[in-house]
Amino acid sequence: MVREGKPDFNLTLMSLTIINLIKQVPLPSEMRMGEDGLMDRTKAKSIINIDCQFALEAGLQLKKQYPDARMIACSMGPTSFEPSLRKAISLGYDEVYLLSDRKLGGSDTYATGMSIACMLQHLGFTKDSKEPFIVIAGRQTSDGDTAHVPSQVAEYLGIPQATFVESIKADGKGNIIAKRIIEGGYQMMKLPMPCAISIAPTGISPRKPSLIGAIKARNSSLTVFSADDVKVDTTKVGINGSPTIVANVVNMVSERPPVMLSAGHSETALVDSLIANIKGGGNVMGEKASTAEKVTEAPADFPVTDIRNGAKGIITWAELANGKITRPSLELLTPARKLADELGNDTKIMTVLIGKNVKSLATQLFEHGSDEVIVVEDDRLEEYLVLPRLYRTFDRRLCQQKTKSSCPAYSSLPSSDLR
Amino acid sequence: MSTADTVNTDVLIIGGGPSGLATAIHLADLLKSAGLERRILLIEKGASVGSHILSGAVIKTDVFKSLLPDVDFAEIPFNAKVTKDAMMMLSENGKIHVPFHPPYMSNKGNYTASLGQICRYLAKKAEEKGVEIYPGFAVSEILYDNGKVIGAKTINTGVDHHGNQLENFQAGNRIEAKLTIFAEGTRGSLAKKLIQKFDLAKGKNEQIYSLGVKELWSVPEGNIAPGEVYHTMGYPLRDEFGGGFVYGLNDNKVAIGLVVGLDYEDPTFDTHNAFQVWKTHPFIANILKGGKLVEYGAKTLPEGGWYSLPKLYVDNALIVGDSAGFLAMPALKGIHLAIASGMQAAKTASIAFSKNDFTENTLKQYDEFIKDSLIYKDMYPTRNVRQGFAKGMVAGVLNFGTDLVTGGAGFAGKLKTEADKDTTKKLSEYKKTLFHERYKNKLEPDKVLTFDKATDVYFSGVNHDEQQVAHVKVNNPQSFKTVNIEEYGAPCQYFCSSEVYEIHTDKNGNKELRIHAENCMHCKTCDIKSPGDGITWSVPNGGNGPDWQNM
Ligand SMILES: Cc1cc2nc3c(=O)[nH]c(=O)nc-3n(C[C@H](O)[C@H](O)[C@H](O)COP(=O)(O)OP(=O)(O)OC[C@H]3O[C@@H](n4cnc5c(N)ncnc54)[C@H](O)[C@@H]3O)c2cc1C
Ligand code: SF4
Repeated sequence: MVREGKPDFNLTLMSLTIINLIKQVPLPSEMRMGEDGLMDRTKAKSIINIDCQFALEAGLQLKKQYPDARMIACSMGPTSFEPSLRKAISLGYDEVYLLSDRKLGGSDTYATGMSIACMLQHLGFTKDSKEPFIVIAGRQTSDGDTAHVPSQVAEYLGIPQATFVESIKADGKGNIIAKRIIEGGYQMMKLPMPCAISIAPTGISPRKPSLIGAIKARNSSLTVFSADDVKVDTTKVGINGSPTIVANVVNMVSERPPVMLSAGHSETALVDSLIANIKGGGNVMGEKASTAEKVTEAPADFPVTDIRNGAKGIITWAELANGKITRPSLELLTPARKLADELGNDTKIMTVLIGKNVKSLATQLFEHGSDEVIVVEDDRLEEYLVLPRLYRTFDRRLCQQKTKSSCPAYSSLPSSDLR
Repeated sequence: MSTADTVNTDVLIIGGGPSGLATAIHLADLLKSAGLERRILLIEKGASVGSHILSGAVIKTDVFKSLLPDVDFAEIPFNAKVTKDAMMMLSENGKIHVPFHPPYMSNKGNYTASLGQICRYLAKKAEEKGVEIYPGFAVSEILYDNGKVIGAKTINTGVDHHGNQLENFQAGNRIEAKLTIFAEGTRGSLAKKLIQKFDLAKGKNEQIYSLGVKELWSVPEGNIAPGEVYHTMGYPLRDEFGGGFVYGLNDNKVAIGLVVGLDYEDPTFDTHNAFQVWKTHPFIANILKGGKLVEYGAKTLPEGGWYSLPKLYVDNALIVGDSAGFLAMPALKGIHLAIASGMQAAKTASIAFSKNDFTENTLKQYDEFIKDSLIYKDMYPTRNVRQGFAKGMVAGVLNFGTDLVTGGAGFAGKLKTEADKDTTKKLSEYKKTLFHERYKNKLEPDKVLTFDKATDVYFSGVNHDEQQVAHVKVNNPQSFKTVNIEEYGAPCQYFCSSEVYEIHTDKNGNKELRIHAENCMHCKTCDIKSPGDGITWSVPNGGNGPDWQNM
């Protein structure tokens, strides 16, 4: 999708800026949930989130095409994120910025996306920037797992985005060609710069730092911005400003240690041992004794603001792949139904179905639990589109509907991501 | 030669163990008092300083006072002061308290500690003095110019199993230095090449080694007091040289281990499994009762003693610590000697900087400094002890007695050693009961007190990048099959502390070696003990290997 009416960037004259958004996370194997339902970042060892590591590598691969590109890594979080930003330098980034402010603590993905976008604007990167830039982020983080932030940043900046991307290349005419993972294959997308890309951890593995990079990292300075520095509206951030409320968190405890199903140093020994194990039956999963679900009650003084403003209903979006509704989109209707029933008050599920000749698929959505299906059909909508403008149009139309919806539920994942 | 890929420094120290860190700290101090400003770069292959450090440890602490004269001793993170120190002779079903205390083994005034913690502390001190420490980088190659050492190079990363470059390839960086210090610890992979290239071991005894396997446990209150120290002899070892240790630490932790001389003959001997059997002895089992395993690790230690020390210097380079073989037998103490050798190397280096001469001419003073130091006093009197034990435990004890009378000269003057790889016997030649027959009914781990290698390996936090050339290499695949596998029954599958080597038998009975390099504990046993053409251990990618916290 080439944005019409915009001059192509002449990349031989102008330099490209590659901006990476990274997050430091606890080592997944050591992750603990705090009593308050938020991540406890104090105990575990920290790493750069795995998806972000792949995103950093994607940026460095793009640099191969533009050896003079300005390389920036940004993060938002406590100052304990510093080692990760230094690591980015050791990998080949030049400048690092951290947005860190107590006021931002507890921000949800919406507030985070907005804050990061403000930081980028503060650094001079807006949708009208004269010089081309690309924002690259990891698809999602292992501690939040929402995959919202890259999209929120793109939305707030008003630039096109592609999510779930495996690899990117520049076409030399001011566009980024992104290889996006979709159900059953890939989608090749062309995005005009500036644009934002979220990277899945399936592409080129992250490189190791070089010694020279590490020496540079040791001697580099790190710029830390406060919320006021980047002029973010502080009433809309932090635990109080964020629209999301974490109602409860359930800690999953594995109840059975792993078992050895087969052991041996030759094929025969392996097969014999497997058969013996199956015959013995000791390792078969028994009926799980139902354990009472531990629900964390929110404290009485927990600041709950109802921002629904009288709106009601649940929106889901039906993702299409090869002319069919994807499984996650259908599966999503089950929890949506459960939620609707819990909310009571005649809450309805509305599903948006966008594409070319898709009306006939609506029946399937009704069968799986939708109460209402909004069909948007157009020949130009055959492929997933990345220009935010289009989506805003849909949003506006939806908002004009008399049933205002309070809760959008999207499955964040094409089912190629097994989870 | 200087390019964008080159780092220039005055001193390059390879290895962040006690010897490398002591060199760095003392040299920084000496240069400062001489008014010289020089760059000191220390590279450590572990992901952080301490993550590849394993020791007992009971430490002789005096040397720390000379290394850090301005530091309050209490600030150094030793664990507990030794309160009780006993030698036990273990038999199959009981214990005997050895009535006399073996000389050179007294631990009065010593402290127990995690050497990893000590090294982290020393690294902090070194950085405060301006030393630049870069953990997570593996030094894989010595750089020469006109046949002289001019520094070293870090490993290329981003290559596949065959060494082909991948898209994330990063060429290693050259580090050029006026002086390079080899502080790689036991069986240093570069020190080994240096010793070979310059024939530094000429006229010396073969270096011989022991393998120590260790577990850190957390036990219920009352099982053992901090500072309680036991050494054991006997069970489950028979002809093998070695013994166990039990060191009580604060917070109800206890460090236990078994150290076995690699000059044993039994091709199926397995130190890890012998260690597991050792734990079933009631004396040990009682101390561990109700406790749980916290960490596992293994490392070799050089035991040849004074006569196995190679020449310690060449133009532009010095060797310190275990890489040289500074270890006091039979007390198994190397930490204070590592530090002392680092300090003598620093003294030598500071003279070299003031003269701006890094040739052997100046560096040879290192030898004299060593002879004037506590290293000589600790190592010379026991110079024949270990060789005596090579003839078996009984002959060893006798020889040890003679040593005491004759001041270390023994009857033979200078006893010779044989390389550990050559002492292994072929299956057909080994006439005694093989190890795995000997303890057949004891080798099934109960996963409470005893563990298989795979479980223990898990408790080391070990990790290796998948995309790289395997860092252990069979030198000659053809002879490996006919000699190592067929004649010796593949000793590597037994001696390896971490189940890296697996012999796979296919339907037709063909045996083939499979290497799981990702498990490797960096103990270096395979480099030392493989018969025939052997196996070579080299560094994997930086930051790979165990991730020890408190070893
Ligand atoms: C089981 C066991 C028990 C022991 N008990 C005691 C005891 O109770 N008391 C005592 O005094 N001594 C004891 N020792 C001996 C003591 O631990 C050693 O003598 C001492 O650690 C040697 O110090 P070092 O600096 O020479 O080597 P190390 O401590 O081994 O340090 C070498 C460092 O160099 C790094 N390195 C190696 N090669 C490279 C490379 N190519 N590139 C980058 N980095 C590299 C390694 O990762 C490591 O961190 C024991 C040893 C063992 C194995
Ligand atoms: S492969 Fe070699 S160095 Fe690694 S654990 Fe096994 S014996 Fe030790």
